[in-house]
Amino acid sequence: MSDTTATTPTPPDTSAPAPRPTATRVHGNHPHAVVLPEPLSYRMKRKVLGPALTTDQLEHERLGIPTAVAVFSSDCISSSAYATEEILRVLIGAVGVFAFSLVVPITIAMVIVLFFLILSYRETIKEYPTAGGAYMVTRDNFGLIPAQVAGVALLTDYILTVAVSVAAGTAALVSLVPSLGSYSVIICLFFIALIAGGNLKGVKESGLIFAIPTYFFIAMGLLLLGVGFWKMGTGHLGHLYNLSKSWPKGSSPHGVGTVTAFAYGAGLYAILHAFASGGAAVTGVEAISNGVTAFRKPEWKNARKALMIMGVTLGTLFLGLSVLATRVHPVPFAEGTPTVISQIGQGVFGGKNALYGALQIATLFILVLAANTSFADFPRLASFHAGDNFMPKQLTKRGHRLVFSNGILALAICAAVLVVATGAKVDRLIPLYAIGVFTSFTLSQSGMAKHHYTRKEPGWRSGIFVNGFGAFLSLIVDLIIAYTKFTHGAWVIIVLVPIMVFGLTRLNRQYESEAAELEDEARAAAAAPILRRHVVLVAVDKLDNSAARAIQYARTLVPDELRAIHAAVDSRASDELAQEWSRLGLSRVPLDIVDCSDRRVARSIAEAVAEELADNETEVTVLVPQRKYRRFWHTLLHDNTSERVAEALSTLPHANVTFVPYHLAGKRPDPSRPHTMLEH
Amino acid sequence: MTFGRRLRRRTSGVGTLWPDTTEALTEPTHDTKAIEDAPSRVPVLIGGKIKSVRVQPLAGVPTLKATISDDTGQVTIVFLGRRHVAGIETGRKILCEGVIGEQMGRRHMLNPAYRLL
Repeated sequence: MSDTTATTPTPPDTSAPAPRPTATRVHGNHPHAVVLPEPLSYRMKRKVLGPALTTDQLEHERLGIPTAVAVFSSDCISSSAYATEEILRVLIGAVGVFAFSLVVPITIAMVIVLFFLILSYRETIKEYPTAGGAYMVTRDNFGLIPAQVAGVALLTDYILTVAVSVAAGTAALVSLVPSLGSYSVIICLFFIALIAGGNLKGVKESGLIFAIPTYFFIAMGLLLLGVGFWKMGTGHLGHLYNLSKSWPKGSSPHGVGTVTAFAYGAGLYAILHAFASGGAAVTGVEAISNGVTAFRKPEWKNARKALMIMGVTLGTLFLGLSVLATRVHPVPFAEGTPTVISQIGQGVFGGKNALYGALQIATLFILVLAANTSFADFPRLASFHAGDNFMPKQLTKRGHRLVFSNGILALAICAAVLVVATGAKVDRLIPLYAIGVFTSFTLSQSGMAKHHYTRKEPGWRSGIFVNGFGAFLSLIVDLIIAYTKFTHGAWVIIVLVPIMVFGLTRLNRQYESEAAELEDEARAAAAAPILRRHVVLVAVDKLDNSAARAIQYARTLVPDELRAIHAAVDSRASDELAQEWSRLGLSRVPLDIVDCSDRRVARSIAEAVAEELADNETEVTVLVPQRKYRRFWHTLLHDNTSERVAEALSTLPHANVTFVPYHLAGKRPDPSRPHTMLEH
Repeated sequence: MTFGRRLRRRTSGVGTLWPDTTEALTEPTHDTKAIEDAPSRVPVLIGGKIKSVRVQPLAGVPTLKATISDDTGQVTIVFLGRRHVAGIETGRKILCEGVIGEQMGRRHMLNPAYRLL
């Protein structure tokens, strides 16, 4: 087995310079203490992200119910900011003004779905209080492959949550300040970068950052509803746009009943399509079940309470906004702004006043926070996948600030691509949305039903009913979404998820076979008898200080045979080397000059090594001097033959490469320093 | 044979390192043996290319070793008592006459009579 090891012998300059503040001094009292300077990249990282967190700081603080509601429900509650708009957008396109008579029934249907989902998730929280989430539930009950489907579906939806939330938040901002309209993509990217940066820094799940915007939005939403209903009751709430004259005679829309609307051509398809678009409202319900461990004790009871609060809040806001929409008659614009919620705000608060501004700001904040929820969930879910060998292992690595940095970056990049591709338009993102969430709802709820059935713990019958019905309902909604939004963009997800799952299973097979090969009889291999002979070859290009270091290092080894090897590319240079070598006082180290008339140095050395290996009882070590340049661009000035030698040897069994670094200090050599063996 | 396999065989890199060597050295004028077939302990004439030359440092026993290789195998020629022999350089083609001996699986020819080509 060939492997590549790197040794780091002490640098030639042992008179250590004064330690820089950013360097670690190992064994500080020793006169020749080694100074380990921190690389520039790390120093930059520390400037930007703050000092590294130690692993024992991982334990996160426990959250009380009010804070937990703020932390986990921003994603879910924020959906109310755009759900009504998306329902209206579909309906108005299909049936015109009669949309306003259908929006409330559709919202009620969605709230019913929400109600059953909440009931189902109450069960999940109780049964999986440690590691909840669709991935774990599905994996436990159906196995790894269905879990991949649930996980991938959720991951795509987390990406979409970021894109949709940021786009909707930007839309809220643009509604307030219309002149920003042409910069919406850039604003979105800025928000994504901001959130990703904050998460890389490790924004604590601690209260205030979340609590203020969330409760601010809830307060503004309730205020909007309160004022709106009061005005409705007193008959002061009128249409925002005075367009009634252009409507067909005798069809004042809010006087039209649902039945009449059907008569005007609201086909079942349009209604289902609108319902599917409204499905965006319930995304984020799963957030609490993912984070039960973050609650104060008793975790699952508190999490259940928080879930109820979240559900009631979302239901109230969603339904209330839809009801107000029937009065205000907001119009979803093709450009996405001004948003429906902002138009309702305008209608209710009576123009673009301070309250309206506050509503817009609150919307912006909660939507940005909603994106942040995904940044907490996506990396964790991805790390579950990776932990089960279904995603690149890098996703399990916690970074500088103890967060899953790679997952955060992956999410930010995917979301940014989506935002750019759709031009930051919420209505173009919505068709992709929700299908993944409902797929994972279906899987995890049926997983829960199976869990009840197999465990048969007290109350399992009602558990099966609740989760089974939740699964059934999710499946129906999922099918409706897939059917009605297929041509609008849902096909992307429907095509993408199976491809991704296929890709992940391939990845898994690769990981599994690697692991199997690596672990197969490892202990026996470690104790197996070693090869009889050890040959050390020092690759020498010319007799310079870097070669001298390698030779010096080689002389500390005790192999059966020690030789230097030089590939003769230029016969004059190799003649010169041969002459210099024959004058050296190194009786133990002869120099082999090997033919290299095809100028492939690495190949020539590999052939020489292969010759040594031919007897099948020889272990060969090739020492490769490696010049370490001080600056990145210095490296570019040289070819990296040393790397190529290592690469050429990597396929030979029992050929090993050791790099012997020589650090160029960037100063003229000091003739009084006798650190080389080049005495003449 | 599939196309892929044929391509792999074509490009596998297994084969002659110096395809012209044999041709040049097995002309009737030189009565050389292929190194693989050259018997040990009897005088033989072999020919090949100098693949490597070993330089001993000053303190070592003065010896010059060079490896001669043709398509079929290789032999190390050893010049005892010499540090340098003019013309014994990598890449040169050479004819050597001498007796091949074996030592630890490696074949040597001590102080051969040689002719550089």
